[in-house]
Amino acid sequence: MAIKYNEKVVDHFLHPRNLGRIENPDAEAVVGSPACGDQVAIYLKIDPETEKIEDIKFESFGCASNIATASIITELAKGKTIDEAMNITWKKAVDELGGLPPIKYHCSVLAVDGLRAAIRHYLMKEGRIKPEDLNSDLVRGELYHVIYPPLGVDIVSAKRVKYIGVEDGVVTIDIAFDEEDPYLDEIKHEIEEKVSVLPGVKEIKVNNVGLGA
Amino acid sequence: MKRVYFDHCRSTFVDPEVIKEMNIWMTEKYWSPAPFTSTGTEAQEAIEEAQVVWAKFFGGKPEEVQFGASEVVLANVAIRGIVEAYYKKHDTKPHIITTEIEAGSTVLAILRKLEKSGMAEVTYLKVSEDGLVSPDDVKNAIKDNTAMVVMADVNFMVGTVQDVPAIGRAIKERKDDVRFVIDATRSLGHTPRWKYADFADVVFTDAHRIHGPRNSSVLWVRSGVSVVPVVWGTVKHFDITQDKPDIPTIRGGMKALQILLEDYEEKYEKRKKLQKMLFDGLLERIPEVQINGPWPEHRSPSNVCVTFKYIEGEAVQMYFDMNGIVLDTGSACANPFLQANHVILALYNDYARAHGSIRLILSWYNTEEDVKRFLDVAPEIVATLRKRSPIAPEIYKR
Repeated sequence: MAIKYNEKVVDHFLHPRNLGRIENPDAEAVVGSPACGDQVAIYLKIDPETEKIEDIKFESFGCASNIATASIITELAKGKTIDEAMNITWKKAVDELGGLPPIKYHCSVLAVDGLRAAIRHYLMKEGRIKPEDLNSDLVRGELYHVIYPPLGVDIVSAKRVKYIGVEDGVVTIDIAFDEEDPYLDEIKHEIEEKVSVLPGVKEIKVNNVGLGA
Repeated sequence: MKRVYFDHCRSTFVDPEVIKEMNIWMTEKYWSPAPFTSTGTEAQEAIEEAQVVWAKFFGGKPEEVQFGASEVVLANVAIRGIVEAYYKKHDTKPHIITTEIEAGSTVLAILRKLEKSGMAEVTYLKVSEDGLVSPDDVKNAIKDNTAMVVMADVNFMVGTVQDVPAIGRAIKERKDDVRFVIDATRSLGHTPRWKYADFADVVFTDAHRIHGPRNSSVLWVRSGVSVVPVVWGTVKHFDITQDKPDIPTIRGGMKALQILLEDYEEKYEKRKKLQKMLFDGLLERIPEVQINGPWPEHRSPSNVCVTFKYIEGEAVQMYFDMNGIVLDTGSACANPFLQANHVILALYNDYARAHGSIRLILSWYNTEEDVKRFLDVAPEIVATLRKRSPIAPEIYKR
């Protein structure tokens, strides 16, 4: 099957909205790294009274789907309260773009992560999230954003996450993939990347228990 | 807008002369080779003539040339056939030497599978920053049970031209029953005019990257080198590949090689000139361009591989595509398994450099006009993407 981008994706890629930086932002986050392929930076101005996102800007070292999703995310988030913005999912962003090829879903997740990480930084700065709040539900919440590319489905929904343990900041995650799966390294990498942004995480252990376990 | 095509490692258009030749063998003379009859013998002679042309190119004998279904099949036939032959003779596990920059879809895929299934032990040699394999490293890696050294003479990603004559000599000096197998699938027309028979034992190649038809795949095996057939069929035509001859494709591949050899030097120099225009033009117009691979020495005249710092290759590729320019990238985003190009990682251990890389492979059909088109649009594409990049310095943000 040919993998193509639709017109709306191409439009957002060529003419990204809200591109750039905000001087003295109320919150910012850089997620991903060039080493993993993509990197997105999100900058926020938040009204302390209403907690609405007054302004949002982004930068991206990434492919077309990464840039397009980041662009649409900024449109979706602008004017929303931080609670509402926290609930914008990658699925919502992809739908808003009129769809992406499933193999590219994982690129779209990064922009959503960036927005959530920026909001989380804001909440931490305000003292509303503390390191001791870390628990397996928060970890699972992050794993919903790790996509298994061949299926275009996150690893939790695909039932590939077998166990999540949290003890003294040490997060243990058991996943179930074929040892020969060509995406295994990428998945492990993404899990570490996503979970490491949670407050209070000191160490992440990802074990592949294999299929059939 | 006329399309400008710089992706001749993936595909080339078939030369009109080649199509003319193939047409004869598809319409007028659609014969199958057989003894005695006029049609059958004409077909047989058509194959033999192609064997002569290829043999002359390899420096071997016509009967040492066999045709097969595809470069993937022939890579399997050669490598696994030598492994089988080693087991037959020594009844012990063979050792294979290769490099970490071989093609992932053929040689490395086959060797990893052999290794995982316990059929062979494999050494992946490191290469220099220019992608060069040292003859001494090859020599020193040879062990008692080494069956073969397998590598490409031109690297597909960064265009390094290996000193295969010296490597061949080093192998034979150390242990003369170690087979030297060359993957020449991406090197036709990109090397000095050497004769493979002077230093190699087995070569597999394919004319589809020199404007021949798809799967015009050829295997040369020096007489006396044992390659046990791993694909079973008929021994009537080719005893190692055991394939049935596809005469139009064989003729097309032959014709493509003849066209290349007609004026080899001229075609070589033409690309070398365009290549220099591209490198010089990029370095002159765009700051912080990294040349991947060796330059100006030890490089195929067709290969231009660069990274524009701070930006990602798939986005660059998309922009060029929208400008009607076709090229390739080593970015993980454009790879079905989301892995960055392993050659650039092996050379520089730098993920951003691999993700940001783009590759052009020139044909002698490319023109100065093509190069100008590329150089005209490149600076703006790079500037646009750098403006967006969180890792680009402030200077690119204005």
